[in-house]
Amino acid sequence: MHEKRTTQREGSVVAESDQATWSRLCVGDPEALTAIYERHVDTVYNFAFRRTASWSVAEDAVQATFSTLWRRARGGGLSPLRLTSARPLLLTMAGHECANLLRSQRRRARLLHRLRPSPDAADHAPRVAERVDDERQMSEVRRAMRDLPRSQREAIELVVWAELSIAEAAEALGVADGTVKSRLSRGRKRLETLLGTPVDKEREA
Amino acid sequence: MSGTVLLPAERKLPTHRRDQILRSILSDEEPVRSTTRRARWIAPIAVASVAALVAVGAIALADRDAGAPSDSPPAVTTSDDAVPLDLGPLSQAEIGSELETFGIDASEPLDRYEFFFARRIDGPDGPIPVIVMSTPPGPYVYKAGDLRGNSVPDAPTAQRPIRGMDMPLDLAQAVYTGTPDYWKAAGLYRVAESVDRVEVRVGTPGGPEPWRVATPHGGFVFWATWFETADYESGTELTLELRAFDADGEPIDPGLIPDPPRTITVPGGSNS
Repeated sequence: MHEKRTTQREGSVVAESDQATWSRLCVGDPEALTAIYERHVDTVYNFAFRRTASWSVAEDAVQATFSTLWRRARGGGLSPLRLTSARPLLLTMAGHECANLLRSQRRRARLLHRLRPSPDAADHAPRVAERVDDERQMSEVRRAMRDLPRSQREAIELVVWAELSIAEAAEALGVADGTVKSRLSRGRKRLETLLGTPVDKEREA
Repeated sequence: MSGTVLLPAERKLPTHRRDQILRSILSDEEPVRSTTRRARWIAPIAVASVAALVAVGAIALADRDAGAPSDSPPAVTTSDDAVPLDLGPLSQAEIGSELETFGIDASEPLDRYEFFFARRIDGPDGPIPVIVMSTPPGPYVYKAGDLRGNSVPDAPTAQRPIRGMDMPLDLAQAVYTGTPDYWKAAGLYRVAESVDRVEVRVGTPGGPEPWRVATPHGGFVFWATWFETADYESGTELTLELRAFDADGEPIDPGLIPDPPRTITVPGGSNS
């Protein structure tokens, strides 16, 4: 998938690919970070939500992912982008950050479990309620996904939900295209068997 | 759920958070460089074995007071995406439960035993309890999940601050029987006080996994790393790397680490 965005420069519209922006990022250009961030922040945010079933953890994952990216860029540790899009790499990084955050969250949860809930803690604002509904719904999906091997879960997350191409997912996972296809196929079948429903990306309006 | 796997609708990161996060990242003028970035990377060497491996160390006789469990997992300063293995101390109830597997009645006073290491260590199937204790005047014992033993390697020295056993054991068979999907390597090292942490990771064709960080307690450190064999085609070569650091964040000579880097040939997994 080609990632191009238009930017206004000196009155003309300039399209810059992810690869070009990434090249500037590799030398620590803050404008390049801003551009990459603006292009992909919502993709990372939604990917992290589907991985963690928590919008607030997803926000933390966004921060951690782009912070890591920026540190690496400024430290000279970024390699040129091999694909046309930065998304596969960003989602791989986000996956690592989600794992770290979930571990921290589990530790906090164990602590909070010992504390009595405050009657004032509930927030019934509609927006909060919607987020809670989302999280409950996503948790159900994650529970079903737990019965799949991680490799198949990742293939579904990247290709079906995050809409990476097979080649992009293969690059992100470090495997061959055919491996992604077979994992995806096995994962779909297994999940459909578990749920009795198709797993194509269908979302609430 | 019915009809489809219904995902919640995608959302945009709220504008104020979007701006706040970006500002926060960009305002960090000084690049954050972890001490581990100075570490020397270890070149992999080939070994024939594809079995999971555990190098089991022994008990630090001179480091007993360091074994007192702290209340929380240790703070770890390491590379950006490092993952702590230590999930905190075992509770008294958990220790009691583990002791019963040694045939020790946990309702008896436990002060005649000395605990060097009683921690919850992350693993592919969730945390496992790892205990190293002495049963005076009897032998020292360790237990890591279902694996146990009482071998006692030599004490660490200034010249050899990290000690393991020479004989590798197959932890996959010992601990993870029934979960053949995983390959795991783990080890219990006996370490000098100068050793701050041990880190381990698996290198894959798509890039290395994050470092997993193991923190010493009571003169011991238990490290572990793993991957799902189904993630890789049979025959894929991965690398297993370990490194260690002192309290100043300086890397310890890789030659002093008992388990040298090695290549792992994936034994099973998908052939698709």
